[in-house]
Amino acid sequence: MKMNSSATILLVEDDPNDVFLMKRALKASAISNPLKVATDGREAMDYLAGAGLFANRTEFPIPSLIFLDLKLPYKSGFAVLEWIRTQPSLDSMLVVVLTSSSEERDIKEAYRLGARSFLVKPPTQTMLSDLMASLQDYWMNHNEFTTPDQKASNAQ
Amino acid sequence: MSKEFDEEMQVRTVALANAKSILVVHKRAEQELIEAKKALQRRTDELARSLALMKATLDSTTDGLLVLDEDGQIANFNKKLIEMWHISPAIFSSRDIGQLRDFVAGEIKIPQPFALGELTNFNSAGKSQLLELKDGRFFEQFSEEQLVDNRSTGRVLCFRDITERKQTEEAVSRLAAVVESSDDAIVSKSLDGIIMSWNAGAQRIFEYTAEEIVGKSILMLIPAELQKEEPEIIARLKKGERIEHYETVRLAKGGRRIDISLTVSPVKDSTGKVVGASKIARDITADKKRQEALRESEARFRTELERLVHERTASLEEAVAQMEEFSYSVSHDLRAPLRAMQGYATALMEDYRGKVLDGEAEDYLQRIVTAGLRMDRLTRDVLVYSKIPRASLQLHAVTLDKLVSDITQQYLQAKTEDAEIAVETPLLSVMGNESFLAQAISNLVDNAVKFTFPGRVPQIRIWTEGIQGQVRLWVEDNGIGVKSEYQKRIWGMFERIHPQTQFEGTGIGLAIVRKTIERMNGTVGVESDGVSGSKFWIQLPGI
Repeated sequence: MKMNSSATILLVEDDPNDVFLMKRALKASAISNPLKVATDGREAMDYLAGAGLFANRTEFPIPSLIFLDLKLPYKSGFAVLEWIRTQPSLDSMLVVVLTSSSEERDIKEAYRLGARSFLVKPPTQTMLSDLMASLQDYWMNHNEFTTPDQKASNAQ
Repeated sequence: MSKEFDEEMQVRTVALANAKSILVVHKRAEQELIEAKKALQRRTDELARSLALMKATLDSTTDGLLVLDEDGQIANFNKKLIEMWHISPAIFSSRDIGQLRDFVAGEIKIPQPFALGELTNFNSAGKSQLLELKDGRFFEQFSEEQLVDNRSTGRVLCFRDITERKQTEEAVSRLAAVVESSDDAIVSKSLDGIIMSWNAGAQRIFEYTAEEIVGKSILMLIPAELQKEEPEIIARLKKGERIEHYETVRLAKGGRRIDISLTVSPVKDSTGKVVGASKIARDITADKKRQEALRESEARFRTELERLVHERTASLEEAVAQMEEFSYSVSHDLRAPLRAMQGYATALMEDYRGKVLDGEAEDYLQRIVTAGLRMDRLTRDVLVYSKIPRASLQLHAVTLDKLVSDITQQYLQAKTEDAEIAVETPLLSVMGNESFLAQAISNLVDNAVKFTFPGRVPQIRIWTEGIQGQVRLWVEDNGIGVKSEYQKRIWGMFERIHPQTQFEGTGIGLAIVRKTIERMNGTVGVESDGVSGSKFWIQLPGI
């Protein structure tokens, strides 16, 4: 089934400016899904594991799509990806890497660790909005999703 | 009367008888005289003949002969004597021994009283003497007293021109001196391997004296396990071959092993047949020790060098790794603030358009956005440029047809400007790196489209030509061209000819083209008259 507009999107991003601009872009491209933000790798893993206050799945639902930056405090984007792979309940999680770097080695590593897509943050807001718009079309209207398991995963 | 007549008749009859017998005797005597004359003539002829033969014999000897009689006067001589001494006919026709003696003395370098005495002194037995002439020739003089019944009948003096013999003797003794004075062992042997000669060098090296070893077999000097070398050497010598600097081992007296370098040459007789061998053996024990020491020091040096190289490489690798870290940071960290600047300026414009912001405020904000964009492009280009020398380069065959077609396709899809790009296939293939080439060609196409006259549709033509094993790719445009005074400058870093307001760009595009092509062992260039378009080219090794 297609992703419905109530599915949660998790943005893992440490730069508050980029968070702000991402929210703007999503709005501009008519993606009205609820957006949750984790500001570092550790927090992202806690969120997905349902640790601490994230155990409240009503307030912090398991997302259907994750935008993941690579350069993060504490645990990097790669660490998060690697961890996700170890979680059976997250094995169909859609992770889209959204990062500044276009380095070949980062792209390779991201795919190796299970990222479904690799996007480079565009320099202008307009371009970001366009990117989100095209994502909206692809993910919402074409890509088939599966419903994530809303139970807290057996996380380490 | 008749008694007288009878007596007379008797006398006359007796007289007649006597006369008859006298006549007979006379006739006999005459006959004998004729016979004697004939005999004499025969003898004379014989004598003449034997004299002529003797003269011919005398004249045909190679020696100059002078015969003196018991009085010391000139009895005979041969042509050779006159020739070798260059004696004038006047002196000889005088037959004066005194004149001859003076003349001869005059020809001798150091006239020895002894030599002169020889000519007339009959008391000395046959002896020989060496005469050195003023003209440099050497004569050997023999003189032999002629005795008949213990009485001297004269003396024969024999002169032989030994100049050549003397020169040969000198040359031989020089060579012998060379052989003797050589440090190397110089040994000659027969084809059976018997040692024929042994020099001082051989004695020094092998410790055998000449007496001990001449006549013995050369096998005495060869270690047991190498004995087969001898027949091999002989076989090659028989073919007339020479063996040079053959390193092997030989035995000195007492069995001590010596490292030697052998050179063996065939010795041939006058018909060219190989009759023996000459061996030169050089004791290379010291040499070998030196070589070994050299090898050891070389090995030490090499190890040291390798260690140094290893160290340097390690520190270089570290430096390179740091550079990579730096570039990596650049790609992440520098671009984030740009996005922020960008994003907020745009947000301002979008949210407050018409409210607080007037046209001018919007213009300022737009400039912030543009500047941010530019900064971002610059950062990215600098990053690309800085990676070029560090990237590990793999060269392979690149089919330009496909690459150029991909680039032009991408271009046409992505860009909004109208541009006509004509590619003249088939393009030749080159030896290079695909991603570097893609970067370079893209940049050239970008430029070709960008630097165009306002309002004119950019028309680009791409083709290749082969030049002596290399391939030149041309990118021709109908744009503004490049004046000759700028044609070198444009390839530099951050070089822009035109103002930013006319044509945007980072000034790194062509620097990237140049750097990438140069790393692939290629060359770049441009042809342009400065007004009617440009022809940029890159040249790489062909396949």
